Amino acid sequence: MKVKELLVSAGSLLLAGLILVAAGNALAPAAAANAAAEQQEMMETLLPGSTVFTQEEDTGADANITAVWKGEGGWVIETTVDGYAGSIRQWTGVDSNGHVTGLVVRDMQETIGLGQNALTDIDFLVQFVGTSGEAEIGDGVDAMTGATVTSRAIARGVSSACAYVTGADVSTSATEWGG
Amino acid sequence: MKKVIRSPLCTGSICLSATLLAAGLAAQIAVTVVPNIILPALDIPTLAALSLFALVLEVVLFGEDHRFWATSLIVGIVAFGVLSLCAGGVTTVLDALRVGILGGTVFLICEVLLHSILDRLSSGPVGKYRRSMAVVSALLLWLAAQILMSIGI
Repeated sequence: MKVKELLVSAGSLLLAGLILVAAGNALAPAAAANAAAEQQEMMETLLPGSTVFTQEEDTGADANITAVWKGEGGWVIETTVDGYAGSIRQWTGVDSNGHVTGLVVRDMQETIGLGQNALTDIDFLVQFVGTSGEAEIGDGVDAMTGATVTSRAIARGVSSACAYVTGADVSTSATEWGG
Repeated sequence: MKKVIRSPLCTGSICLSATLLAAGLAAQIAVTVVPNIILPALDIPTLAALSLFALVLEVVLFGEDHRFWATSLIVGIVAFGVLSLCAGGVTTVLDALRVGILGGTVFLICEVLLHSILDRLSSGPVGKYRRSMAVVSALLLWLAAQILMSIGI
């Protein structure tokens, strides 16, 4: 192996790395601004009537809850629960009375065509809106076809979000794996 | 210089670097433009897709030339580890090391399998269509890699 070959190889890697770092730094301000705008818009959708959201410190009482924002009329609660293939991170809007006002999945790696339908399946997600307390698949909420584990995971996240607002016991069956 | 660039070590690292650079830039732009986009996880199928793309690129641009397997492993580990960190795909050095080792291993396995298929095909009637066969073989290997999707590493 010649020194020149090693230098060319290392140089190509170094050049690619430098371009990526430079691009990342150049795009960072725009990315942060867009992310903040998108977050604000999403939270206003999840919790209608609220425009100012303040991030609160999580009490740590429920391991499913990873972030909490307080709005004028309630809370937007981020939960991260285990799905079929990795964690599912979702935001749930809950009003001051403990009723779900909106729900959106923010990140997941579920099976394409099955569990990932939770990103766009309005018929499934809308079932949670207006509910309060413990959400359970099969009890007023139908699972997505072929994605029972994902459906239960999302229901578990909703239950945790409601329990945060109402102060309900989070160690109920709805917060265990499988719902 | 041209001879140096066409050596198996250089063609491998150039094509892998170019592939990861393009993927990294695409991911950075996507996250900037669409902040709530869900990008594929850096799991085995994704690493296999990137590796196979780089290997096909190498066959198409430089032809097929075998190199030491250890060289491929080292190039893969360094490229995936360093460039995933530079692109922001991972945030810690430990994660970069994990992606590097996994990516290097996947790159090596993909190379061995792809070149084995191409060697077999070269003696048959489709042997003259090496570039097309590289694309088709890589696509089939990537589909096969989907069965490893749910393995969490």
